[in-house]
Amino acid sequence: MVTVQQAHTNERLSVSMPRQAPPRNFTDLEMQTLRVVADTLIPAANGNPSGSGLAKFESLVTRAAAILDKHFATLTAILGELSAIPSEQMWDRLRELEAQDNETFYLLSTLLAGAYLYSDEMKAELQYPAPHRNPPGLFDAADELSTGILDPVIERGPIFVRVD
Amino acid sequence: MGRKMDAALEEDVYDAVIIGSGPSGAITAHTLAMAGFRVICLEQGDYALPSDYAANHDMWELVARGHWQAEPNRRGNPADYPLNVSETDLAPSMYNAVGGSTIHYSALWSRLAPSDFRVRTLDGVADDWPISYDKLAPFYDEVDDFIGVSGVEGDTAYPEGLSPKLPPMPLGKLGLKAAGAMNELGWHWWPHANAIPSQKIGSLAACARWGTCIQGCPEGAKASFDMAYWPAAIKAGAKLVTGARVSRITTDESGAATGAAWISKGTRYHTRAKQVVVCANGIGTPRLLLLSASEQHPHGLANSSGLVGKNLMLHPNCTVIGYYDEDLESWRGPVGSVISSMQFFETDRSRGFVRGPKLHACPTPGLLFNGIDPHRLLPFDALWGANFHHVIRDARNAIFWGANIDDLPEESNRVTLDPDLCDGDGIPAPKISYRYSENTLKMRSYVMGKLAEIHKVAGAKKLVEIADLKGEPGHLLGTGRMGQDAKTSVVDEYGRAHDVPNLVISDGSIFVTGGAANPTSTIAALALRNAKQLIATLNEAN
Ligand SMILES: Cc1cc2nc3c(=O)[nH]c(=O)nc-3n(C[C@H](O)[C@H](O)[C@H](O)COP(=O)(O)OP(=O)(O)OC[C@H]3O[C@@H](n4cnc5c(N)ncnc54)[C@H](O)[C@@H]3O)c2cc1C
Ligand code: SF4
Repeated sequence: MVTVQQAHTNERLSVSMPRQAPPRNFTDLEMQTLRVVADTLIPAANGNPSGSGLAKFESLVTRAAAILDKHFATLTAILGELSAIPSEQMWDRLRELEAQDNETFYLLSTLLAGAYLYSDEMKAELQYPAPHRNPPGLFDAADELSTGILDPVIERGPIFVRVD
Repeated sequence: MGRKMDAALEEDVYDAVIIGSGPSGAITAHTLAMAGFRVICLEQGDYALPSDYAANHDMWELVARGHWQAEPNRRGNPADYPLNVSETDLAPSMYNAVGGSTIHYSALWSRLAPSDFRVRTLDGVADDWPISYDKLAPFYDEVDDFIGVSGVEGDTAYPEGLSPKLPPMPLGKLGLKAAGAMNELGWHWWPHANAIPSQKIGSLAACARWGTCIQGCPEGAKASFDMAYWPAAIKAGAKLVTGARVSRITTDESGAATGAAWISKGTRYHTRAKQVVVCANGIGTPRLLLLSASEQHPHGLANSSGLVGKNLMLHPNCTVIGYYDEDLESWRGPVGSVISSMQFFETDRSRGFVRGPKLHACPTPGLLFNGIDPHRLLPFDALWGANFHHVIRDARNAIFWGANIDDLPEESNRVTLDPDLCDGDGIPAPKISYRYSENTLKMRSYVMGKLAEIHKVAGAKKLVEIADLKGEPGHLLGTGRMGQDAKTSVVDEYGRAHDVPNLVISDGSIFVTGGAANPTSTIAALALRNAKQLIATLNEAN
């Protein structure tokens, strides 16, 4: 038996769990840049808050960054770059980023859209359920089929090519 | 792993060593163990538990993106091996864990049709399979009954006798809407059979419609094979070793297989067996066969035909998502599919291509998945800015009409060993070379038109068309195909390698053509058929 260099630690091999916190907290400047980007991508409209106009914006983006922890370095690098962009030029810069470095734009926009959609305000507003148990009624499927909805298909008969 | 176990593993000669614990490995282990044989399965991953899955977390869609990606390069778990995807139109998806890629699958459970086995005879392309639908039907039935497939008897797209064991899940508002449009068009549809039990069966719970099936089922309902088959296989005596990455299949001077060499936490082991069954999927299997080259098998194990790794089929998926005004409760599972359509799956040469696609309508849980991400394909301001608020509202009521494309085999689409890229144990990684054929592209553009037509008839207010659906090609087929002639195939009709007397391949590698059906039901039926033949072989040898 030959021993090779230890390749694995004792971590789980097939599951990686999200962290509770990002590798470090966002700096004030990074948080401010996140606010500008969020408001550019998601402006307030018709009574809906803007991307950063959420009561718990800071904790939501921090939580989202913890979940997307594998990409934290990419995220902070782009925030560093965007911090120099005046807010009135941010829309054009983000559109350019999407065209030129889609992966990074995807990461940044997913983080902000995720924080927005999972905020208390938007959960209440959209009334869109989070995954949960909702077993069907015992007769739901039978009731649907007993309306005869499948009859036209059955009446047309087999549609496959017979071989052999 | 203690030293005592190390020694036992090394000295024993098992009746069979199985490589990979997905559906094909699980069924092989269960079948052989039930017949009283001593089997061991080596799996590079370990268990994922229902409590691990994304649905248990706040911001579950972000968790799914960050930690439950379907593409191994994006996920990068220790069990994963990298893929060189620089020369492919599609980056393959898979999961490396007990249960294999069914941790991620949507459990759409559909069969190949009789004509899929006779493509050369009927369409003059590719090759016929060495078996027929009729020969495989009893094995399809046996697996279906074991895992408790839900569905409706009598699908007119298949020969008589297809009768899922459990009643279907409800179509729901979304399914009724989709079915109504199909009736209006006069096109075939049927409640989709899913490997998602509507009632508790065996080790599986009844589906409670969480709707997160692709990111793992938190209810323990979806028939991922860690849940559906492994408990019974282990109870029957099969041994499952996790964290065991096989680096090569070993052979003797005569060229026969002697077992498998594997690495766990940096330590090397060898397990000896009378039979080796490779179940590492359409990419992992050719990788391993190519890694197992030796003096007797200079071009890789079982590769005298030169076809190991060639003819890779990935079933490109495409979709048209339609957004509706009425409440469709699109967040309700299972995902799974509510209805399928085989209206276009047989060849009609007037369409300009041969073979055809399978269509399926699916629920669309998640506003990121089904609202924001599809809209990224549109111009920037169709999603961002003021339109963002419309997009997330529209996404609440959407139908995903998708299609599997039957991409026919081509030798230039292939898996090879990358000269530079290695996994965490230093084993060379696979390189994927795959390009869409003309037939594939014609079929895709035809079906995209049909999917849009269905939505229009159903009254969708907006469509987003996605010709290249990323993260979906988890259908890994054709890279060690079966046939009667050793010059033009790798294995025979029972998965037995033409070149190696005691090597069986039982995963999607052995498909001759891909068909349009989601493949796992066929992979499972083939694995069962191969395992039953292997019982006869082992009995004869004893
Ligand atoms: C996102 C997604 C959705 C899907 N949806 C559907 C669907 O709805 N319907 C359907 O029919 N199919 C679907 N599939 C495909 C389905 O998951 C596969 O067809 C099925 O899992 C293949 O089974 P298998 O046993 O051949 O291989 P896999 O399930 O891939 O298992 C192979 C196993 O081998 C192990 N392995 C590989 N190499 C080694 C090695 N060197 N040493 C040790 N272990 C090794 C791997 O870790 C893995 O666990 C989907 C797949 C994905 C990714
Ligand atoms: S819909 Fe059913 S199968 Fe899918 S995750 Fe929920 S309980 Fe599991």
